[in-house]
Amino acid sequence: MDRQLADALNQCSSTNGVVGMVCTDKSGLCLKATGGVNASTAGYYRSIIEKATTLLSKNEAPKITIETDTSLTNLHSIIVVRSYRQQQNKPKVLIYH
Amino acid sequence: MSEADILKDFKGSMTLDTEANILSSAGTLQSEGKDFAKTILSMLQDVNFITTSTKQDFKRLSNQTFVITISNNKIFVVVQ
Repeated sequence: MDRQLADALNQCSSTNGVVGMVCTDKSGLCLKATGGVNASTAGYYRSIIEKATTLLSKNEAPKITIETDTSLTNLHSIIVVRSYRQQQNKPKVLIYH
Repeated sequence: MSEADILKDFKGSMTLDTEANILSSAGTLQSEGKDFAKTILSMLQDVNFITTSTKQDFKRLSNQTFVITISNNKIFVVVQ
């Protein structure tokens, strides 16, 4: 499973503009972190997803975006993708689990 | 004039303070209570840790339904 996870993350990480990724389990344990993403933040990303889930209807998986002055972070289920802003100000990567 | 009068596609909005007290609400968010507000605040606290640790300035948090931002010590939630 580790090899499959690593391959999937490597494939996503190679997408243009992606500077880091983190994958967590349902408890927020960091399974893998690459690039500029700090593994210690994995639990917080997971927490945000869990709370967002309570705000949506039962069958809806949350797709969350955190915008800052320098980056866009997209959260999908258990995969978190962080990318730096382009001048066009568009999200760099969308990963669907 | 209400928000619905001013904004063509207005669906709902809510304003909170930093203690999750609902200052105002309109549209589809009018029926939401303190639990909703606490969840929003809690999410922002998680975001704050992440952005602080990476020395970034937070702008907004969004999902399929809401856009959340902070200004003048108030939290604004808008349904999109």
